[in-house]
Amino acid sequence: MPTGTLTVRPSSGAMHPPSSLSTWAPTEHSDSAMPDGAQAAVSSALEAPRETAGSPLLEAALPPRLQRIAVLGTGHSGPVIARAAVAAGYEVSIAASGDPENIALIAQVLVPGAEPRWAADAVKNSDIVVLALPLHKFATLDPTLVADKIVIDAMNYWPPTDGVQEMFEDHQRGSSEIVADRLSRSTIVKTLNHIGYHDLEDQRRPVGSPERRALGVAGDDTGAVDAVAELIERIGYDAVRLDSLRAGRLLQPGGPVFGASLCRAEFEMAVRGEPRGALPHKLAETHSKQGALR
Amino acid sequence: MTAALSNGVGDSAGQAGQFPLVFGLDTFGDVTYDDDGRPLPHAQTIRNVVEEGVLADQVGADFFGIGEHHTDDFPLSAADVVLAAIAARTTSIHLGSAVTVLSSDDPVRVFQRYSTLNAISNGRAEVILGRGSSVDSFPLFGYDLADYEELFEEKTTLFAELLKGGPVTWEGATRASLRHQDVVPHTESGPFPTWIGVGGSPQSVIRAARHGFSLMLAIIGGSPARFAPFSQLFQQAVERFGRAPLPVGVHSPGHLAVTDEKAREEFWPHYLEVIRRVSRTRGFAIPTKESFSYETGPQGALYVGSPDTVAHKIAANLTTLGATRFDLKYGMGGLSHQALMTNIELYGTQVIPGVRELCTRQCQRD
Repeated sequence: MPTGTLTVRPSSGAMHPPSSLSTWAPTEHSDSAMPDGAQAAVSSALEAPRETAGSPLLEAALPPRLQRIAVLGTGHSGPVIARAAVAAGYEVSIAASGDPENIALIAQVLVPGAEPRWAADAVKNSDIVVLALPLHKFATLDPTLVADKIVIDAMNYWPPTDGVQEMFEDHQRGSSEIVADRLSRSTIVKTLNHIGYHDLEDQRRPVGSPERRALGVAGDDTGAVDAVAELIERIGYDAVRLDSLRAGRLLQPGGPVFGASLCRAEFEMAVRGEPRGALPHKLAETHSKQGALR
Repeated sequence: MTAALSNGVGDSAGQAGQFPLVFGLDTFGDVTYDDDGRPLPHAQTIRNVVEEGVLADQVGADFFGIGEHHTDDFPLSAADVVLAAIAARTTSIHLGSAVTVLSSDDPVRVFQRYSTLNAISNGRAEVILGRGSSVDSFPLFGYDLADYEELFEEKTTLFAELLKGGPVTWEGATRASLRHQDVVPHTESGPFPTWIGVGGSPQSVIRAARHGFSLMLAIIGGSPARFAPFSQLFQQAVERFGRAPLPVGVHSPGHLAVTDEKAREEFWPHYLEVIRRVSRTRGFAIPTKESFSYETGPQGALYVGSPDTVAHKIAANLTTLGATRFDLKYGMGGLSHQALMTNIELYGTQVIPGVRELCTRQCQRD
């Protein structure tokens, strides 16, 4: 476990979500490696809500700064992620590998409010792309499709269930780091992989709820991590930022938070490798079934 | 009951008004333990399953299913053979797989085996196709888990063709092609009921509707209500494909004893141990007393309790899910054969009549 290298970035805390304005300060983006397009989107999105800083409620009522989400994958997790994003006020499109006509009924019944599209169209008109494919399909994804985009990697490498894949057999590195190598023109953020796809819907809670669960958001690019953290907060979870994709290994199967229902304090202690027995507040570990992907 | 399981035939007591209520018992053939807490040999476990199937028939269950597994703690790898033994000793109960892991089997052989079972049992065979909740058959038979989707899609398509009867012509990548191939034994009265077990994949729901298979929702954790959209998706897809309505069933684990407390006390240590073991390979979170309490409560997926508690929970979830069939997956490694026999008896003599009564009352209110 790469706990030694981990820094959990300070976050706004449960009282000032979603993602406090301080984490959106332009200075934080100045040395980031974010692609130009995404950088511009963040900057322009920063301008409007500044005067609402003292009013979390007002802020929550505003639309998200990066509001167009493309979910790639209509398996177990894709429709659930898309549904949660629709409910959080995002503009959501959903795509499988082929003709949107093939997923029209799935979209209509399972994700009302999301638009089924060709993958290329969904991505082109999006600010954030969610990869919710089975990992063994990842090799068939054309990297240019998601170039210059913020990409959430919600996939897991889980050989006992999905089989061995040579590409991901490098045990020195996390699966999202290998994904990032292949998608070299995208900005990868790892999250949503460590919560069961069913739990993602059931365990959403409003800000300040004592039952609100935390999810990790790991990436090398601060601006992209913040944008994704805002999505996570708006969906109904406290976002715990991990400052590198490398640290995202902690979110993987077998790691300390995979499948575990933890509040922010518990989550932060777990990823630091500290025992959390001393905490007064503990969320019950639920029988969350598999990772986000089965 | 024979006619009742085929599509749309029989009396109509179900919520949908179109299908009769059907109550099944499923087992994975979990190894049972003796009075001293030692595991029984595989052979004795299998003979015990035959006795359990016979009792299920005697107490009025409509269906007895065996889930294919290939492990030391679930040694029921040849479910159809065991079902044939039960068929020879029963007259009413339907017998089937729960599930057949079709992806790692040959659809022609599956058809032949269950068509043979159908002959032996006078038309009481059924098949539930699926990946199942474990994947041990893939390496055993030389299949790559990464090919799961392609294998399942091709093989369900071929199986649907075989069920129609008559010579089959088929071409694909996952087995040898067939040209005007007569596959025997022929069934006496058309296709036997076939279901697809679904644990959370919308494409599998669509696939079931496309082939005209019924939908079995495998709900093994969390709130059953979250599967309601799958039931709606299935009904709409069936309509979209221009098919007559098909029933929806629910498969969930549970355990019955005379009181809630006794059922929970018997089940909990074995449930904890089994999930702890499978969590190593399958990523389940290890249950806690709290999560167990949630799962056995009204919002959870475990049907553990007294007959009255379990009957109310089944009736409520059938209504929520628009389903007309409930299969209780009984047993858990470490429980005794005697506890399982008690479970089966309580299910047949108290739970089934209880749910029927609750659902009839519900229908009268509607």
